[in-house]
Amino acid sequence: MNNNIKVERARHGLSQTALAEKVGVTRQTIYAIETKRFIPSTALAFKLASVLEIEVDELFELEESDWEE
Amino acid sequence: MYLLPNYCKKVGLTLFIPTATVNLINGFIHGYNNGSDSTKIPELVPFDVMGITIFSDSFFEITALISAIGLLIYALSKDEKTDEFIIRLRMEAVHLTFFISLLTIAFLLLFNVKTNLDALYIIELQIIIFLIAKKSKKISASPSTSEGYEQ
Repeated sequence: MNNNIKVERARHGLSQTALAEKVGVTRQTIYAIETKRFIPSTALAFKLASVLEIEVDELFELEESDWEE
Repeated sequence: MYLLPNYCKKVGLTLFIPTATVNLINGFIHGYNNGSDSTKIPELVPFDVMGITIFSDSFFEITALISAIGLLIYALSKDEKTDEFIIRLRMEAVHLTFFISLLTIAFLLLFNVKTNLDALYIIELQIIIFLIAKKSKKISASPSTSEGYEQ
């Protein structure tokens, strides 16, 4: 699953730590999501979208490989 | 997943450190004296405190049990910050511990290795493997500066 967290984070001038604090997770979690090592829950995806002031489907995008799993 | 509050980590360590130290010293003395023919280390002499015999066999059995319970409480306590990713790392560490335990048992059975490890030590060993696996997973999940975590 692709995501634009890094781009949106930069647009808001937020570090991984700052974004992590705003959504109430660890910075390891933000790093893991950005590097596609972890797919967040629906609730966390909505929280991230809310903090980054963007729609969830603009923040996350399915890849072809996601349909094959 | 039900986990104990973070402050229980301190409770667990408070139970584990003194009891494990006493057992480690006792185990070292026994091991050394059994292995050495010439020099012997003086054994811990049992004595009574308010009707409880300190350094008796049953005392060491109880302290071994308390140290295992302390370690278990530590392992089952939440980290300072816990979220869904950290819980996933914890689950991966549990899986890894299970497979390492299974491989160890398979090795012991296949090669007919005779061991006098009692169940309590095997449980403690499993918890230690779990803690090491969890810590290493957390470290590997942490961004290094070269990967620019603050970018």
